[in-house]
Amino acid sequence: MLRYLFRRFFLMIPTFFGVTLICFLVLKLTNADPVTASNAGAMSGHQISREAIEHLRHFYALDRPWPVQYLRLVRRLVTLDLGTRWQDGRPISEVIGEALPITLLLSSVSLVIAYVLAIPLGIFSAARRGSRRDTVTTLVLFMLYSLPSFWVGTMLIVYLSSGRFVTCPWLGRPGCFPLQGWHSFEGFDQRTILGKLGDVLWHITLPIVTLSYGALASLSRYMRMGMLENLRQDYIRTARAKGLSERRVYYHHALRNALIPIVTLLGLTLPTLIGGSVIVEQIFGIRGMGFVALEAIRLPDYPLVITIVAFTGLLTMIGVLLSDVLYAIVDPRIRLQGVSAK
Amino acid sequence: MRRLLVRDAVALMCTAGLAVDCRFVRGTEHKNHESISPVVAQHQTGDAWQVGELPPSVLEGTPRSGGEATVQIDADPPNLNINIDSDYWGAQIVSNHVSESLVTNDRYDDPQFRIRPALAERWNISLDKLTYTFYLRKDVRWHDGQPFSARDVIATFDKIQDPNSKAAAIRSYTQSIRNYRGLDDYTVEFHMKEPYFLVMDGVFASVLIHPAHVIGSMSAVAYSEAATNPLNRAPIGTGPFRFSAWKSGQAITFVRNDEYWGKKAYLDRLVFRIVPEAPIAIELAERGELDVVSRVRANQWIKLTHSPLRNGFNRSLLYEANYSWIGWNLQRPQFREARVRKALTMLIDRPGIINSLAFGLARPTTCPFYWASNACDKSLLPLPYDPVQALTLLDSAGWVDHDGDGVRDRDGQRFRFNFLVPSVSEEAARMGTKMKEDFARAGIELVLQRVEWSAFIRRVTTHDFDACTMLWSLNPRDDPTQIWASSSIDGGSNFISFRNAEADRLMRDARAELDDERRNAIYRAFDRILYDEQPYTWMYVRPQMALFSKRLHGVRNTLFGWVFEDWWVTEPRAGRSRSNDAKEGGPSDDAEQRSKDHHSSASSEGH
Repeated sequence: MLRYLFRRFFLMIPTFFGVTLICFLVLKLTNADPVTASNAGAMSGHQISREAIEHLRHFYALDRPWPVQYLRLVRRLVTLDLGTRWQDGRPISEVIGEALPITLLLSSVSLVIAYVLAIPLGIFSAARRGSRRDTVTTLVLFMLYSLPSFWVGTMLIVYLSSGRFVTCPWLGRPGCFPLQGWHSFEGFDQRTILGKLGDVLWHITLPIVTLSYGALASLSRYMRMGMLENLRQDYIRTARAKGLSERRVYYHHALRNALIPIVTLLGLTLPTLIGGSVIVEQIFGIRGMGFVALEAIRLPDYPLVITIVAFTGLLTMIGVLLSDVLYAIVDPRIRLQGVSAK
Repeated sequence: MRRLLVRDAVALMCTAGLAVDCRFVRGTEHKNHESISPVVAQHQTGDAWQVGELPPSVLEGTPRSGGEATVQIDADPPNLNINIDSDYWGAQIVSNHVSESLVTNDRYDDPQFRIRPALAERWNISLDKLTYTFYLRKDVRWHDGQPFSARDVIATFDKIQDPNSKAAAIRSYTQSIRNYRGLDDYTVEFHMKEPYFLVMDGVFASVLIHPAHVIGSMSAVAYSEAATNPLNRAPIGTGPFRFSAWKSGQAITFVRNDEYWGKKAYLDRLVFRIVPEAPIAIELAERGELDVVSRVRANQWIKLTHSPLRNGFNRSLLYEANYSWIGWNLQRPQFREARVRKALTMLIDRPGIINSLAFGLARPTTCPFYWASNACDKSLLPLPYDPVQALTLLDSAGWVDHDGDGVRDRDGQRFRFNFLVPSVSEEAARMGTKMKEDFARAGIELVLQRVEWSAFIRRVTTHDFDACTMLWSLNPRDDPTQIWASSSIDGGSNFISFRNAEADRLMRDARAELDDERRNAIYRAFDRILYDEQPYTWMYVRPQMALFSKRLHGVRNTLFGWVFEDWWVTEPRAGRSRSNDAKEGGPSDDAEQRSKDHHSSASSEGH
């Protein structure tokens, strides 16, 4: 097991280079750089002088050959000297430090909600397989799964936040939920800890609903599949034959095995946890990682984009590793011996 | 065109534009408000909402001190040191209100925008127009209490002129300075390389003076970066408003500077709230959480016409200093002749495009300058939309369909061209589609090419296009050299390779002419050359549209942005949102917040 982990760890190094290199090259291919973007200042009828452009390119080291630029970026990543954001010159660590907690909060809460609801829903569906209730649940979940989150988010805002359709009179303002942000605009700093917590929860309710329904739909399908597959197994027949109650058959025997794919998925969701949802953050005006990433790509701010991609890439790799390890832990049949179990 | 993609476009246009560009963004509709009779005024109040004018009542009444105003901005400015990064909002917020320059343009003086004293109470320009001497005010204090003197001016120019600072954009103007020195504590002298009429606007009314006691010991690189220059996120200025707090992505707050040397502001507090999505901003305005919705899009404007919002808000529409154009690459054989270009202009249904694509919210123009300025020859009317005459012109130029394939040709070359539009602009693409149909009927094949913005810029700057469309945003007083001089074909913005000896001479003469009227006469002659040559097809001027709460008074639109120090409010934002405030923390909290802001005036909470 240790040897396996060690080996996997070293495999991550070339993968890391691959990820950052591809990201860098894709950005380069778009042929946009902050100075070209600045060159759009030509639009104002006062293009900045060629000299000034060259100067800016030098300032950002864009006048160097691309491998040099790439290696400079990697060196910064490796030494954790992230530098400053081109857009406003603020330290990248500070920018990420502001955005990361918000995204973590949003995604972890929605993930927990998705899991907590998906597992019983899946069991329920599997237990009543073929019944009308199962059909309805399946249908509803498939519908949920197919609804795009930007649409759902917008509809939630229009119906619940705008105040045109639903209003909660006790709030003293139109609508039931805030229009944007993850906390109140005014007076937030003066609140007590509890007041702040309540305010934040009130603000993130709709984003969390938007973030979690899709995951809920797919996870519960996995759960249902897992249960059904296991219920067909011989050991379940054996368990039933030896006279165990249905309850015990489901929860003690089938469930444990059916959880395996779901637990594995947990590892894979780690990167999305950090990466944030660009769309949801945009709709709800929440400045999390997705928001920051989008801003960075627009410019494009190479160091910041690469930092975020490298960070997400690293987490994906850790996530995959974690899910392999989790897989081995929850499924005693699998032993990791120097080769990937999957 | 680019303007459509509001956030992006503004960021792009202004990142590299000069400080001065980005301040020159609003125009005034109300220069004649005093002369309006009460009857007319009342009539106008009736339709002010319809036509998008601020009703005269906005300027009536006795101003009172106190209260606050919340203005929507659609993105965080990169920083508040606009000498380094002249972002649109950065300039709107800081210039004249927080940090000041040696002189300033009279913002209500449209279209002349004459130069007025600011930190310099008077100045002298030598007869050879090369030496500028500024006599500084002696009663000015920085927001942190330190006295202002010539040292500050010298320190600021030292940083900007240092090639290691990121102030490249503003250096395009300040490079005209040969040298400068302080004669005494309150006198500074600048020597210029050549006489140039934009020196006052571009340098002395644009460079914001920073405190020497903060920036004096910094390197030019440190001056450029927010991480090392505290002024970039928490400016210390001399203006009527003091910086209070900047919470990234949420709000930037200012409080009144009670020690201001000039006329003090009325508002206690001025909040710029960051709301990226325009529909959300309108929702927030309805709830009374915003007093100004800064950027209303044309389609929203139309929708708002019958909105109940008109009870609480005034609507204003302002034609800024800009124009959108279609440029014909004069290196292409199809476009070499003026009569062909005239024919092309007459084939483009500009009134139709204004009515359909721009929702009627655009004004026709033919002028390469700010449309209201005296540099425009107002006798030059847009060429009519006249396909019949256009066909005659094309025939006379020898562009006839010889081979009967439906496309005109001459000397074996078909009249076919690529029309390059930036893919971000939906409007440009639709305009292109409409033109394609009209041109096809006239026997001209137009191939629409939509390309990514950076590719677009690369192709127009390398002259790799047949025809293209864009929008120039201008200064109210401007130098056309960058766009029209033959020397600007390589390295400038003369993308279409316009070359005209007479025009070059006029532009050269105008540069050294400091007298506005004499220079404008030269420019009107220049306008006539462009009109006859039609190297561009002038399309229209785009407006800036905004909503202002009726509780705001003293509001006037100017090309140099809003004059926040003249704003005052009738009621402390009660009524519509007081219940909301109570919910959010109560009036006492509000007061507490205010006093807290006073204490922490120099520190940014955004950190």
